Amino acid sequence: MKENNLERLAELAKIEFLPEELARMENDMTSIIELMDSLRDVELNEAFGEDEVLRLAMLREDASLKSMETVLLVSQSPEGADFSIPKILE
Amino acid sequence: MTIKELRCALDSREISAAELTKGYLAGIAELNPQIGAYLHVNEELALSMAEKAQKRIDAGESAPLTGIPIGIKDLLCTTDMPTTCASKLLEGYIPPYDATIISNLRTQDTVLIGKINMDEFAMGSSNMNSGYFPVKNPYDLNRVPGGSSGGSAAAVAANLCAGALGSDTGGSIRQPASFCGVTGLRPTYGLVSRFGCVAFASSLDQVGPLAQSAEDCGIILDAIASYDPKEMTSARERSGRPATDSLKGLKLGLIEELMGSDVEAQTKSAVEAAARWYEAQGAIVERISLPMLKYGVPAYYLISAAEASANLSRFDGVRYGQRSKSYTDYQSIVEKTRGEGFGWEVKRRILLGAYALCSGYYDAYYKKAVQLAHVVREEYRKALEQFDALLSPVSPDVAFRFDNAPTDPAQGYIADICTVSAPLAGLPALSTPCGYNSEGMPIGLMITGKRFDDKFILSLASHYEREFKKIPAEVRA
Repeated sequence: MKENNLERLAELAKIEFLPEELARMENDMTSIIELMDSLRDVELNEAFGEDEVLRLAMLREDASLKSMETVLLVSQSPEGADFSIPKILE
Repeated sequence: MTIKELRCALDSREISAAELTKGYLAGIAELNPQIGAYLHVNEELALSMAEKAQKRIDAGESAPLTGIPIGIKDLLCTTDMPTTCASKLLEGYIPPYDATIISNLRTQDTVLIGKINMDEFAMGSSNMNSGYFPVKNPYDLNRVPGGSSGGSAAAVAANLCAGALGSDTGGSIRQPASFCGVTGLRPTYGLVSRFGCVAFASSLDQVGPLAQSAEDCGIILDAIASYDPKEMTSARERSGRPATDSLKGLKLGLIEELMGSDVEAQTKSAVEAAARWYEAQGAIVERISLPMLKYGVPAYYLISAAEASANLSRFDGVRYGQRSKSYTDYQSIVEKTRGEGFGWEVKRRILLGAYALCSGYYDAYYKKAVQLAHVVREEYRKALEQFDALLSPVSPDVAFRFDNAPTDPAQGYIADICTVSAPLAGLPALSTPCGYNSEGMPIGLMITGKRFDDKFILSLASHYEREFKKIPAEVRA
């Protein structure tokens, strides 16, 4: 794996790396991806539908349920009337 | 003592719940500095739970786990103890709700004796990836206990709790149970609620028990397994084959691909001896080939890393735990917090997941891995139509020494070959001790069953455990 690819991945993953960490990670990822590459040559003789890709669908239908009523939600807040969100950015 | 024996001792007033809890707390105070199994123990809280349990015992209303001290892997949410997933990023974090299985244990007035060390966010097979300190194997303090539930296995092996909860995504209950000479069950996917279990790979994660015996694992399983409307993968239909009294006529398959040349000779020999024991009891043991299992490792790592990269995106320095002190804007809060807070292995898996899901690579890696998991699932289904259960080693070798840890991460991943495939198929699988190598290190036998045959495979292990001469770990402070 090339360093510029790794920088892009780190950006996607939203993780900051120091330059020396990137060099170490490059070696690790190269070795790991070599192992993963063994899958690329596997011949699969079956035809796959979307159900095989979305594995979680095997147990239960994804049905929408009614959301909690706002009044009930707010009544359970520690303050009793509203939720206070702590300030994050100065 | 086993949980079953402790239950008798508590109910007959031979010992009180407080005395029992104090005994375990004393053991933890003496041995935890060496073993490192616990991250958090609150003596006062544990004793207050014991006091409450004693009132119930005195009223003659005890449940199977009332007053029994159980250790909790630190990825299960508890409102009265921190939940850190052994990560610096979540240091000091106390969740606002209990995991469903913690609520289930509280319903029985179980003593939750402490939160147990693990590989950070359950990523690892050695416990060397804990963000705090590594756990050591009670059989040899120079060796790893396995992972990621290595703290749970070590705590049970060193008698620092009567039983423990762990989680298993690709072998994280079974492999440490094998390394530490205890019994550990990965239940059928959907049998035990993961609500309040910090997610690693949602299509694979499952919570389960580790204990001194299969019978004890069954007692803990009964307490924690319940249908949970809060968890979308919790199964409503959960009927499986019950425990069996007899082994006569059962068909057991020994998995060919997991008994190859890469399995160490003493491990292979111990598993073969266990298979012969089942034969001597009247079971029919035959070899069975599941050829696609050899691709289990890359398939498992791609799927789990892809899911982890999505699941761990919630740790952004805003909603949970620690936050970097040197940020300039929102983007830098997220990147710096994750850069400073996550350990090396977690970063590696997130990057692998991001890679597998990238446009251009998705079909070649993630989609192929998911399709391969489907093929593995079909192979297991066909094998379990022919056989009542499958036998194999839990790991190609015994616990390695800290100074002999693999330096190439891919080599470490390959060592998970025996355990990663059952989760891809959603099957229950357990580890029970079946031997010791020439250095006295435990070897585990894995028994894999059909979906919801958890009680059945536990009973297969129980029969074996009654005959197997277990050698306890001897840790000295």
